[in-house]
Amino acid sequence: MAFGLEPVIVNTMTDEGVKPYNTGRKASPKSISAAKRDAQWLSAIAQKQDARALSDLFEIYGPKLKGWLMARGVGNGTAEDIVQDVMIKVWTKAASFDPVKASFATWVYRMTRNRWIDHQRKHGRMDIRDPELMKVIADDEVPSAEANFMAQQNSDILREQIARLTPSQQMAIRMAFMEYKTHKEISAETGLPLGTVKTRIRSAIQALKANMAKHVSQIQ
Amino acid sequence: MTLTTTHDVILSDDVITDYAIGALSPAKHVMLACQSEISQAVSERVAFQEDLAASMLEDGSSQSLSPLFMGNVLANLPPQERSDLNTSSDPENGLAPKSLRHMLGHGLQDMNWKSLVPGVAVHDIMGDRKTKDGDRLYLLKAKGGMKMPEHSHNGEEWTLILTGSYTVGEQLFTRGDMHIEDESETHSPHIDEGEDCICLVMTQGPLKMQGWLPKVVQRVVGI
Repeated sequence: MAFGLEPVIVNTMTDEGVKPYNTGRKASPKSISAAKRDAQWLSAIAQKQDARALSDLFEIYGPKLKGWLMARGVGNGTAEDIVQDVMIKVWTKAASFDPVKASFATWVYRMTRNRWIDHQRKHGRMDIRDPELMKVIADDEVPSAEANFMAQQNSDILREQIARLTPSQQMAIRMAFMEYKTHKEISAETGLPLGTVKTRIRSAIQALKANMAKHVSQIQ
Repeated sequence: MTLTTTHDVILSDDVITDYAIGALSPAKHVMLACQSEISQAVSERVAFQEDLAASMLEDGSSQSLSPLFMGNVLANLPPQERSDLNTSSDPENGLAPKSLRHMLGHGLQDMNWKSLVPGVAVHDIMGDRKTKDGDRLYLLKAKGGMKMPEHSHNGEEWTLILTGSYTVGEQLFTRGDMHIEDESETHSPHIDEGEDCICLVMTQGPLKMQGWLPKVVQRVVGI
């Protein structure tokens, strides 16, 4: 898949199980913001030492975090060790979680990433990437603007805004953020000069920031 | 006239992206983590890209946890921490970002400095300054008023100023600023009068000293 090629946008509206984008209707219990749900679990953990809430959180986030680590070449056992450390940290530090500062998704992602960097610091840097796995990720379809959208959830807003970028900007964001490729690697793979790769990623991020700012000013 | 940097003016979005996705080397990661604790502007830029990276978790591949995972963790949960225990009242401690204290195990006041030349001391954190490659992270303390020997680098040199300030040419670097130089630049920072300047430094290779005296000193002390 070339960096500059326009990817095929799959219309997920027709896919089974994906509901069309819902505007302003009464929210179904399912569409209660994930961020709000997470914050409630966090406060149950902090105030009532509710271990059930912790396990509910990690039923959702555990496999995603483990997948994130393994996509970066971390082995199964180490990935679970890191997720375990993070889960314990969420338990012990639940009282310091502030939903105003960051969503739980960002908070737990940051802990996992930092824990992984710590692991590299202590055990040497790893650079094992499974080419098959990279191919699977690269062949994923780009989410379209019609994909699931829940209004209050920050990550969903971001994802929607990503879907509004031009196809080449979307590719730039995905290659950098999902496929864990450095600018040099993207340049080597696509044949684009390093400067162009940097400019594309930077301009995609700038466009995304501008869209987000517009979105925020619209809802205020 | 002296120009003042505004904390993040030198840091490009590329570096912030690499930080957010966890692609920086551990040494660079710590540098940026420390800077975003000190600088509001950098922390906002970082937060945006971290939200972006976290939102990508939705799209990424999931890997199921092993059947015993949840039970094992839940059976061994330690006591929880109270949120108010984290705030340190020691002002000296506040000068060292939390990410740095996490690695040192203490604040800047309990340092075991190793003197290099009169007025300059270092404290190694990661890597070996004498080896040829790999990122090295260390703290460097220079007395106010000193002029550092003219040098360039093998690879990049990142400097995060924690206390005091220094001037290179017309540019002033002060607490929270990240000064990034590549191997093409030769420079000779002048520490401003007054307070000691303590910096967190990441280098990727031995510094290249200009002039015979610094070269001899370098061979003896290693930096």
